[in-house]
Amino acid sequence: MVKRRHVLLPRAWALSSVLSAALVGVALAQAASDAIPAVTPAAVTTVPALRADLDHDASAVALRDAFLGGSLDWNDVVERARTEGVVRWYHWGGSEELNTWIDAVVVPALAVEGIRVASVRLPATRDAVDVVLAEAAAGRGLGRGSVDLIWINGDNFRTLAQADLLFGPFADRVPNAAWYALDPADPAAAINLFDLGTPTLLRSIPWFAGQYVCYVDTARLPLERAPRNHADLAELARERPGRFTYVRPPDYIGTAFVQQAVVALYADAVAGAAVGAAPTLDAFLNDAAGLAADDVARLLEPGFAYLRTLEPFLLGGSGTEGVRGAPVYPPSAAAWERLVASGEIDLACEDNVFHAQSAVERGRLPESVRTIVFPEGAMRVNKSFLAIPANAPNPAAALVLADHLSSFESHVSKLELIGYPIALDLPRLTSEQRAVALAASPELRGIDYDDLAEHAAPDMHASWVPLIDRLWERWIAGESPLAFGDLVANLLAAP
Amino acid sequence: MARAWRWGWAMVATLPFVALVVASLAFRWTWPDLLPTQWWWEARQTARLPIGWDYVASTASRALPALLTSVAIATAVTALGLAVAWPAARVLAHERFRGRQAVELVLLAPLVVPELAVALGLAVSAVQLGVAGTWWGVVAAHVVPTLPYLVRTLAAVEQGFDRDVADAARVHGADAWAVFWYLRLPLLAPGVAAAALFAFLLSAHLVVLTVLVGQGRVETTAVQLFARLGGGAALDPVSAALALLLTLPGVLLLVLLDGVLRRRVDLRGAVPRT
Repeated sequence: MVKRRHVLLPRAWALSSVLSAALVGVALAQAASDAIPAVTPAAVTTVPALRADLDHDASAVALRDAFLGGSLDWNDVVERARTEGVVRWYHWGGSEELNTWIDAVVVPALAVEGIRVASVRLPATRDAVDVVLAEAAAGRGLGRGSVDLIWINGDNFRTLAQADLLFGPFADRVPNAAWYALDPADPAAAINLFDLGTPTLLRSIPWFAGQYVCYVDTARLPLERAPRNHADLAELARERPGRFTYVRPPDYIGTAFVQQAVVALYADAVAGAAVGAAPTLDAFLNDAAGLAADDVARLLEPGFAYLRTLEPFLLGGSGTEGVRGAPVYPPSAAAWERLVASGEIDLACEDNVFHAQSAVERGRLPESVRTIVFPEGAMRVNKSFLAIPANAPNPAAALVLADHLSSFESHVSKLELIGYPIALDLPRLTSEQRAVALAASPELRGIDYDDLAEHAAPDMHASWVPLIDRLWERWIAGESPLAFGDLVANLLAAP
Repeated sequence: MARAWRWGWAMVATLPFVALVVASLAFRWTWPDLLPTQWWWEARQTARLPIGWDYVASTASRALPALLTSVAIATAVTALGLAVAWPAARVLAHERFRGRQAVELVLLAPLVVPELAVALGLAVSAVQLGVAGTWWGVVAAHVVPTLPYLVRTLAAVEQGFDRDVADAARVHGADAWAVFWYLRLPLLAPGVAAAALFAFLLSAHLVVLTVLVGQGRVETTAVQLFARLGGGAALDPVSAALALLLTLPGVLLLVLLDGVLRRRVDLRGAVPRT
């Protein structure tokens, strides 16, 4: 039963076995080769030009071109970083754990190098992108802006990429690049080179490894009754009406839940009936724009039909088959977590395998919470990144900080202190390093690393995200009277 | 009866604060428990990282610098706002001239345009002027949304001022300064103080403008609180503590201005002795 989906997902499966290795501790318990691949010095290449309409600082441009072109020694970068003296790191500031770690670990480490880390805490990463855009609108180029480094992914990265406001392909040039597969020819490199489907083109370096994982409160739902796939979930919802719900898209966590339902239900649909020319599951890994509207509708319909039939049994639903009621969809992962904490629902999900442990330690979730395998074979993994904008005021210091944050020591301390998974490619660790990482790893509360590796799956291509979000808004929240196929065709016609 | 009413009001006014204080001292507190099942002081010994008030008090939280920034900015905004709005309100209250309504409309415009739209435009202007990311840039930006409130309140206050009294004083030899100091100021003080309180509180609670013009580098308590609760998170202990801190300057100002706000001006006492 478990493996059925994998047969249908040849490419996903091939990828997932590789991707799984990127997860924290996945391979830690396994035997390992001790070899770190030798760092091949990057060849001197042509450097993509910075936007010509901005006012760049000449010395910063000289540094950039020499470094990206491969003709500048790392020591010279560090030297210049000391002269710059400060680096402004913009990141989401709502986590006291992260703030504490940066203050206690990163700031002192860079202070030793003579560089002051000014960590700028934002209500949302989008705010950092707005600063970069506003300064570019005012003509501020390299060396003249105010954002040096951003913790970023998804839409925000795509916005900077589309505006051509990224520093350039630095990821394979910093010393700690050796921890990552970055050669496009290497299938293991995909997770490091694509940010939710947007090619990073080495303009950002991985920093956080996410895997979608769900947890239940075993004080209310015994562990053996926890769902393992979407059919289980539907059955459970009917047995215990009103005790499940999910976050509304376009929130990232909500979209992820819908995405997983879409993939899983389509897999079931094509497995159950012999559908002649049906697109394969690979379609979800590629650009949706390359498909006919018919095929898009066919791919999405089983998942959306499932979500509609689930609605009466969600929190606030009628509890009666076919009668919608007033289902309540929480607005964010934090609100979802709160519903579990207050005992209103049994299950919620997050993008960090250590989330349940951290939340229990902070008193946000009860001790009885356990992490579960759900959905089998489809716990998607992805990474988020550190990017340097094209108008970074201190580009050398930004490179030094990006490199420091990519070190093994930094990733282990982050894992140990605040439960942020190691984003380094784990096959590249030595067996001693694996042991160190395993010892530093927080509890997974119910599952183990083998489970995570076995059920890892690649993320959808980013082009599906806005489509799924708008479809959910119309078809689920809005209960559009149109036929599903017509609605999809309309949405595709009017982007 | 009157006493019962007073107690009732006191309860209504203080209950939210009691809830905040309890929330800030909680470790585990979920519905439907009336009180936390585990308190901060019971959990702090075993916590690996500082929690609750320990985090707020640590340098990592930057709670104190942010609070001082909030107070400094709100104070400057209030002073600058009064300096701009009071003269305008005085003219609007007492003079009749062509285009008066247009001027009034312009002064109220920031109320009509959404804060985000104002903020995005101001952010680009701030970059061009080189004040983005500075606290005085944020002060200048905060004055914009406070102006409509200040002008409206002060115009109403000014309308209550009988200019015949000023004329009478002038006839008796008082110069412009004396009229302001001995007549206008004492008579208008309660209204002006109320307007100032408005401006101060408004500035202390602005988030979007602060983030966009301050580029995240100007970190106020309101910004810290929004970063934590913006996503619809539960009121965790640290957020509750920050919320308490955020109310502190307003409450202090209210206490400080209490005397002024209650004052009934006795004109006889205000007339200069010769």
